[in-house]
Amino acid sequence: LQSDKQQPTTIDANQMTYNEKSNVNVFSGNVLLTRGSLVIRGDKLTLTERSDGTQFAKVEGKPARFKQQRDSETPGEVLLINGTGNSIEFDGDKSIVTLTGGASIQKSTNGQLTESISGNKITYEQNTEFLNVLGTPGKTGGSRVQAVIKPKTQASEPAN
Amino acid sequence: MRPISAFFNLISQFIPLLLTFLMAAASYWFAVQSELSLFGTQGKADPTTSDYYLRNFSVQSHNLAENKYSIIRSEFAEHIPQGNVWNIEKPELEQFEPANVMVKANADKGVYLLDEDQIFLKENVIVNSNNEGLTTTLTSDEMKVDNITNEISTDKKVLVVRPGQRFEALGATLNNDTGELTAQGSVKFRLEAKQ
Repeated sequence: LQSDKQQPTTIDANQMTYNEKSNVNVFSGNVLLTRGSLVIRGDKLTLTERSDGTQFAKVEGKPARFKQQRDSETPGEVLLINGTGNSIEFDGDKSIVTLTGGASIQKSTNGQLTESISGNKITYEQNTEFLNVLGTPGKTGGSRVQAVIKPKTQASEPAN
Repeated sequence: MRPISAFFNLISQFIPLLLTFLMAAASYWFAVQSELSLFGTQGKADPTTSDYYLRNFSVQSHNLAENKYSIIRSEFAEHIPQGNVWNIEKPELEQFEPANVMVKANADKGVYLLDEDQIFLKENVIVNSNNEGLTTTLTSDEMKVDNITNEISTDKKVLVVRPGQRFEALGATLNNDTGELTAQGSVKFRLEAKQ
Protein backbone atom coordinates (compact mmCIF):
# COMPACT_ATOMS: atom_id res chain seq x y z
CA LEU A 1 0.00 0.00 0.00
CA GLN A 2 1.14 3.56 -0.62
CA SER A 3 0.54 4.23 3.08
CA ASP A 4 3.13 1.61 4.03
CA LYS A 5 5.88 4.23 3.65
CA GLN A 6 4.38 6.23 6.52
CA GLN A 7 4.33 3.20 8.80
CA PRO A 8 7.07 2.22 11.29
CA THR A 9 9.45 -0.59 10.39
CA THR A 10 9.69 -3.33 12.99
CA ILE A 11 12.13 -6.24 13.06
CA ASP A 12 11.79 -9.25 15.37
CA ALA A 13 14.43 -11.99 15.58
CA ASN A 14 16.07 -14.46 17.96
CA GLN A 15 19.44 -12.76 17.84
CA MET A 16 21.14 -9.68 16.53
CA THR A 17 24.77 -8.71 16.04
CA TYR A 18 25.93 -5.21 15.29
CA ASN A 19 29.43 -4.25 14.23
CA GLU A 20 30.28 -0.64 14.83
CA LYS A 21 33.19 -0.66 12.40
CA SER A 22 31.11 -1.91 9.47
CA ASN A 23 27.91 -0.27 10.75
CA VAL A 24 25.91 -3.37 9.85
CA ASN A 25 23.15 -5.04 11.92
CA VAL A 26 22.55 -8.76 11.32
CA PHE A 27 19.34 -10.26 12.70
CA SER A 28 19.03 -14.05 12.71
CA GLY A 29 16.52 -16.74 13.70
CA ASN A 30 12.81 -16.42 12.82
CA VAL A 31 13.33 -12.99 11.33
CA LEU A 32 10.19 -10.96 10.72
CA LEU A 33 10.27 -7.49 9.14
CA THR A 34 7.02 -5.55 8.91
CA ARG A 35 6.19 -2.15 7.51
CA GLY A 36 2.49 -1.47 7.27
CA SER A 37 1.07 -4.26 5.07
CA LEU A 38 4.55 -5.35 3.96
CA VAL A 39 5.74 -8.52 5.69
CA ILE A 40 9.08 -10.22 5.00
CA ARG A 41 10.13 -13.47 6.72
CA GLY A 42 13.42 -15.33 6.60
CA ASP A 43 16.28 -16.85 8.55
CA LYS A 44 18.72 -13.93 8.39
CA LEU A 45 18.36 -10.19 7.83
CA THR A 46 21.25 -7.86 7.14
CA LEU A 47 20.38 -4.22 7.79
CA THR A 48 22.74 -1.61 6.44
CA GLU A 49 22.42 2.11 7.04
CA ARG A 50 23.61 4.22 4.16
CA SER A 51 25.47 7.47 4.69
CA ASP A 52 22.29 9.42 3.97
CA GLY A 53 20.55 7.59 6.79
CA THR A 54 18.34 5.42 4.54
CA GLN A 55 18.26 1.73 5.36
CA PHE A 56 18.64 -1.30 3.14
CA ALA A 57 17.54 -4.77 4.27
CA LYS A 58 18.52 -8.12 2.77
CA VAL A 59 16.60 -11.17 4.00
CA GLU A 60 17.84 -14.69 3.28
CA GLY A 61 15.91 -17.88 3.83
CA LYS A 62 15.00 -21.30 2.48
CA PRO A 63 13.13 -19.54 0.99
CA ALA A 64 12.62 -16.01 2.23
CA ARG A 65 9.01 -14.83 1.84
CA PHE A 66 7.38 -11.47 1.31
CA LYS A 67 3.75 -10.38 1.23
CA GLN A 68 2.14 -6.99 0.72
CA GLN A 69 -1.30 -5.56 0.03
CA ARG A 70 -1.65 -3.49 -3.13
CA ASP A 71 -3.80 -0.41 -3.56
CA SER A 72 -7.15 -0.93 -5.28
CA GLU A 73 -9.65 1.54 -6.71
CA THR A 74 -12.52 -0.84 -6.02
CA PRO A 75 -13.82 -0.51 -2.47
CA GLY A 76 -13.64 -3.76 -0.56
CA GLU A 77 -11.36 -5.41 -3.12
CA VAL A 78 -8.27 -7.00 -1.58
CA LEU A 79 -5.24 -7.14 -3.86
CA LEU A 80 -2.23 -9.04 -2.56
CA ILE A 81 1.21 -9.76 -3.87
CA ASN A 82 3.28 -12.64 -2.47
CA GLY A 83 6.85 -13.53 -3.31
CA THR A 84 9.55 -16.03 -2.43
CA GLY A 85 13.24 -16.28 -3.18
CA ASN A 86 16.49 -17.42 -1.66
CA SER A 87 17.11 -13.76 -0.90
CA ILE A 88 14.84 -10.72 -0.78
CA GLU A 89 16.30 -7.25 -0.78
CA PHE A 90 14.17 -4.33 0.38
CA ASP A 91 15.21 -0.75 -0.38
CA GLY A 92 13.14 1.22 2.08
CA ASP A 93 13.80 4.56 0.46
CA LYS A 94 13.06 3.66 -3.19
CA SER A 95 10.37 1.09 -2.19
CA ILE A 96 11.89 -1.58 -4.38
CA VAL A 97 11.79 -5.30 -3.53
CA THR A 98 14.30 -7.56 -5.33
CA LEU A 99 13.94 -11.35 -5.16
CA THR A 100 16.75 -13.57 -6.32
CA GLY A 101 17.36 -17.31 -6.49
CA GLY A 102 14.29 -19.35 -7.44
CA ALA A 103 12.28 -16.15 -7.39
CA SER A 104 8.53 -16.23 -7.80
CA ILE A 105 5.71 -13.74 -7.39
CA GLN A 106 1.97 -14.33 -7.22
CA LYS A 107 -0.73 -11.66 -7.45
CA SER A 108 -4.22 -12.35 -6.18
CA THR A 109 -7.56 -10.54 -6.10
CA ASN A 110 -9.86 -11.36 -3.20
CA GLY A 111 -7.91 -14.55 -2.66
CA GLN A 112 -8.11 -15.63 -6.33
CA LEU A 113 -4.71 -16.10 -8.04
CA THR A 114 -4.49 -13.79 -11.04
CA GLU A 115 -0.81 -13.75 -11.98
CA SER A 116 2.14 -16.02 -11.28
CA ILE A 117 5.65 -15.17 -12.43
CA SER A 118 8.94 -16.94 -11.80
CA GLY A 119 12.53 -16.46 -12.86
CA ASN A 120 15.99 -16.18 -11.42
CA LYS A 121 15.63 -12.52 -10.39
CA ILE A 122 12.51 -10.39 -10.00
CA THR A 123 12.48 -6.69 -9.24
CA TYR A 124 9.19 -5.24 -7.99
CA GLU A 125 8.75 -1.46 -7.77
CA GLN A 126 6.07 -0.93 -5.19
CA ASN A 127 5.13 2.61 -6.20
CA THR A 128 4.59 1.84 -9.90
CA GLU A 129 3.91 -1.90 -9.51
CA PHE A 130 6.47 -2.39 -12.29
CA LEU A 131 7.88 -5.93 -12.42
CA ASN A 132 11.16 -6.82 -14.08
CA VAL A 133 11.94 -10.55 -14.38
CA LEU A 134 15.24 -12.15 -15.43
CA GLY A 135 15.86 -15.83 -16.18
CA THR A 136 19.20 -17.61 -16.13
CA PRO A 137 20.64 -17.06 -19.62
CA GLY A 138 22.67 -19.53 -21.60
CA LYS A 139 23.07 -22.57 -19.35
CA THR A 140 21.39 -25.75 -20.54
CA GLY A 141 18.49 -26.48 -18.30
CA GLY A 142 18.75 -22.88 -17.03
CA SER A 143 15.57 -21.28 -15.78
CA ARG A 144 13.71 -19.12 -18.26
CA VAL A 145 11.14 -16.54 -17.26
CA GLN A 146 7.65 -17.98 -16.88
CA ALA A 147 4.50 -15.96 -16.47
CA VAL A 148 0.92 -17.15 -16.12
CA ILE A 149 -1.72 -14.44 -16.31
CA LYS A 150 -5.29 -15.59 -15.80
CA PRO A 151 -7.82 -13.94 -18.13
CA LYS A 152 -10.50 -11.93 -16.42
CA THR A 153 -13.56 -14.23 -16.00
CA GLN A 154 -16.65 -13.70 -18.36
CA ALA A 155 -18.78 -12.57 -15.42
CA SER A 156 -16.62 -9.64 -14.60
CA GLU A 157 -16.91 -8.14 -18.12
CA PRO A 158 -19.17 -5.08 -18.39
CA ALA A 159 -22.58 -5.77 -19.97
CA ASN A 160 -22.83 -4.39 -23.61
CA MET B 1 23.57 9.36 13.03
CA ARG B 2 24.78 6.25 14.80
CA PRO B 3 22.44 3.24 14.77
CA ILE B 4 20.67 2.75 18.08
CA SER B 5 22.44 -0.49 18.84
CA ALA B 6 25.75 1.39 18.82
CA PHE B 7 24.84 2.92 22.13
CA PHE B 8 25.89 -0.02 24.21
CA ASN B 9 29.43 1.22 24.36
CA LEU B 10 28.29 4.30 26.27
CA ILE B 11 29.10 2.42 29.41
CA SER B 12 32.57 1.55 28.22
CA GLN B 13 33.36 5.25 28.34
CA PHE B 14 33.12 4.97 32.14
CA ILE B 15 35.88 2.38 32.42
CA PRO B 16 38.66 4.95 32.86
CA LEU B 17 36.57 6.73 35.48
CA LEU B 18 35.89 3.54 37.43
CA LEU B 19 39.58 2.69 37.28
CA THR B 20 40.31 6.11 38.76
CA PHE B 21 37.88 5.34 41.53
CA LEU B 22 39.68 2.04 42.10
CA MET B 23 43.07 3.75 42.38
CA ALA B 24 41.72 6.36 44.81
CA ALA B 25 40.03 3.69 46.91
CA ALA B 26 43.00 1.31 46.81
CA SER B 27 45.42 3.97 47.98
CA TYR B 28 43.07 4.77 50.86
CA TRP B 29 42.86 1.03 51.64
CA PHE B 30 46.64 0.69 51.84
CA ALA B 31 46.78 3.69 54.12
CA VAL B 32 44.22 2.09 56.43
CA GLN B 33 45.95 -1.29 56.31
CA SER B 34 49.21 0.24 57.44
CA GLU B 35 47.43 1.77 60.43
CA LEU B 36 45.68 -1.50 61.26
CA SER B 37 48.97 -3.35 61.33
CA LEU B 38 50.04 -1.07 64.20
CA PHE B 39 47.37 -2.69 66.39
CA GLY B 40 48.67 -6.20 65.81
CA THR B 41 46.36 -9.19 65.51
CA GLN B 42 43.49 -7.85 67.70
CA GLY B 43 42.77 -5.44 64.92
CA LYS B 44 41.60 -8.35 62.68
CA ALA B 45 37.85 -7.75 62.08
CA ASP B 46 35.25 -10.10 60.55
CA PRO B 47 36.23 -10.33 56.84
CA THR B 48 32.60 -10.32 55.79
CA THR B 49 31.99 -6.88 57.20
CA SER B 50 33.46 -3.71 55.79
CA ASP B 51 36.93 -2.87 56.98
CA TYR B 52 36.47 0.72 55.85
CA TYR B 53 34.07 2.89 53.97
CA LEU B 54 33.72 6.18 52.16
CA ARG B 55 30.75 8.50 52.61
CA ASN B 56 29.51 11.30 50.33
CA PHE B 57 32.48 11.11 48.05
CA SER B 58 33.24 11.88 44.45
CA VAL B 59 36.14 10.93 42.27
CA GLN B 60 36.99 12.98 39.20
CA SER B 61 39.05 12.07 36.20
CA HIS B 62 40.42 14.46 33.57
CA ASN B 63 41.58 12.95 30.31
CA LEU B 64 43.53 15.85 28.89
CA ALA B 65 44.50 14.01 25.72
CA GLU B 66 40.90 13.38 24.72
CA ASN B 67 39.54 16.45 26.52
CA LYS B 68 37.15 14.30 28.60
CA TYR B 69 36.06 15.04 32.13
CA SER B 70 34.24 12.44 34.19
CA ILE B 71 33.03 12.12 37.73
CA ILE B 72 31.64 9.39 39.94
CA ARG B 73 29.58 10.28 43.01
CA SER B 74 28.06 8.16 45.70
CA GLU B 75 26.63 8.61 49.17
CA PHE B 76 28.30 5.54 50.52
CA ALA B 77 30.80 2.87 49.49
CA GLU B 78 32.26 0.13 51.63
CA HIS B 79 35.08 -2.34 51.12
CA ILE B 80 34.51 -5.99 52.14
CA PRO B 81 37.76 -7.93 52.67
CA GLN B 82 36.18 -11.27 51.85
CA GLY B 83 36.11 -11.39 48.10
CA ASN B 84 37.89 -8.03 47.95
CA VAL B 85 34.64 -6.31 46.98
CA TRP B 86 33.55 -2.69 46.86
CA ASN B 87 29.81 -2.05 47.36
CA ILE B 88 28.84 1.38 46.07
CA GLU B 89 25.40 2.79 46.87
CA LYS B 90 23.53 4.68 44.16
CA PRO B 91 26.57 5.34 41.99
CA GLU B 92 26.20 8.34 39.70
CA LEU B 93 28.58 8.52 36.79
CA GLU B 94 28.85 11.46 34.45
CA GLN B 95 31.14 12.06 31.53
CA PHE B 96 31.54 15.25 29.50
CA GLU B 97 33.19 15.22 26.10
CA PRO B 98 33.95 17.76 23.40
CA ALA B 99 31.06 19.04 21.22
CA ASN B 100 28.58 18.93 24.08
CA VAL B 101 28.48 15.15 24.29
CA MET B 102 27.34 14.08 27.75
CA VAL B 103 26.82 10.60 29.12
CA LYS B 104 25.22 9.93 32.49
CA ALA B 105 24.72 6.57 34.21
CA ASN B 106 22.84 5.76 37.40
CA ALA B 107 22.05 2.56 39.25
CA ASP B 108 20.77 1.62 42.68
CA LYS B 109 23.91 -0.41 43.36
CA GLY B 110 27.44 -0.75 42.11
CA VAL B 111 29.58 -3.79 42.93
CA TYR B 112 33.28 -3.79 42.19
CA LEU B 113 35.00 -7.19 42.30
CA LEU B 114 38.62 -6.11 42.49
CA ASP B 115 40.21 -9.54 42.08
CA GLU B 116 38.12 -10.36 38.99
CA ASP B 117 38.33 -6.71 37.84
CA GLN B 118 34.60 -6.68 37.14
CA ILE B 119 32.10 -3.93 37.83
CA PHE B 120 28.36 -4.54 38.13
CA LEU B 121 25.78 -1.80 37.94
CA LYS B 122 22.65 -3.31 39.44
CA GLU B 123 18.97 -2.40 39.72
CA ASN B 124 17.49 0.44 37.71
CA VAL B 125 20.52 0.91 35.55
CA ILE B 126 19.87 3.97 33.40
CA VAL B 127 22.37 5.39 30.94
CA ASN B 128 21.56 8.61 29.11
CA SER B 129 23.60 10.03 26.30
CA ASN B 130 23.17 13.40 24.72
CA ASN B 131 24.88 13.48 21.36
CA GLU B 132 24.22 15.65 18.30
CA GLY B 133 21.23 17.07 20.21
CA LEU B 134 19.77 13.56 20.45
CA THR B 135 19.08 11.90 23.77
CA THR B 136 19.38 8.13 23.88
CA THR B 137 18.43 6.15 26.94
CA LEU B 138 19.57 2.65 27.78
CA THR B 139 17.86 0.85 30.66
CA SER B 140 18.39 -2.57 32.19
CA ASP B 141 18.35 -4.29 35.55
CA GLU B 142 22.03 -5.08 35.44
CA MET B 143 25.12 -4.28 33.41
CA LYS B 144 28.49 -5.91 33.86
CA VAL B 145 31.76 -4.30 32.81
CA ASP B 146 34.61 -6.81 32.58
CA ASN B 147 37.92 -4.99 32.36
CA ILE B 148 39.87 -8.16 31.55
CA THR B 149 37.80 -9.31 28.56
CA ASN B 150 36.91 -5.64 27.82
CA GLU B 151 33.26 -6.62 27.46
CA ILE B 152 30.05 -5.02 28.65
CA SER B 153 27.18 -7.45 29.02
CA THR B 154 23.84 -8.16 30.57
CA ASP B 155 21.66 -11.23 30.65
CA LYS B 156 18.71 -9.15 31.72
CA LYS B 157 16.20 -7.31 29.54
CA VAL B 158 17.77 -4.27 27.95
CA LEU B 159 15.99 -1.41 26.24
CA VAL B 160 17.55 1.38 24.17
CA VAL B 161 15.26 4.22 23.09
CA ARG B 162 15.73 7.45 21.26
CA PRO B 163 13.41 9.63 19.18
CA GLY B 164 12.07 7.48 16.34
CA GLN B 165 13.89 4.29 17.33
CA ARG B 166 13.48 1.54 19.92
CA PHE B 167 15.63 -1.54 20.49
CA GLU B 168 14.90 -4.32 22.96
CA ALA B 169 16.52 -7.66 23.78
CA LEU B 170 16.76 -10.16 26.62
CA GLY B 171 20.52 -10.03 26.85
CA ALA B 172 23.43 -8.38 25.11
CA THR B 173 27.20 -8.37 25.01
CA LEU B 174 29.43 -5.66 23.59
CA ASN B 175 33.05 -6.49 22.86
CA ASN B 176 34.92 -3.20 23.05
CA ASP B 177 37.94 -4.45 21.16
CA THR B 178 36.05 -5.61 18.08
CA GLY B 179 33.17 -3.16 18.41
CA GLU B 180 30.78 -6.07 17.97
CA LEU B 181 27.50 -6.15 19.84
CA THR B 182 25.48 -9.35 20.12
CA ALA B 183 21.93 -9.26 21.44
CA GLN B 184 19.80 -12.31 21.96
CA GLY B 185 16.53 -13.60 23.22
CA SER B 186 13.61 -12.08 21.33
CA VAL B 187 15.27 -9.07 19.77
CA LYS B 188 12.83 -6.33 18.77
CA PHE B 189 13.78 -3.28 16.73
CA ARG B 190 11.39 -0.49 15.74
CA LEU B 191 12.11 2.41 13.42
CA GLU B 192 9.45 5.10 13.01
CA ALA B 193 8.79 6.29 9.47
CA LYS B 194 10.49 9.53 8.51
CA GLN B 195 8.06 12.45 8.70
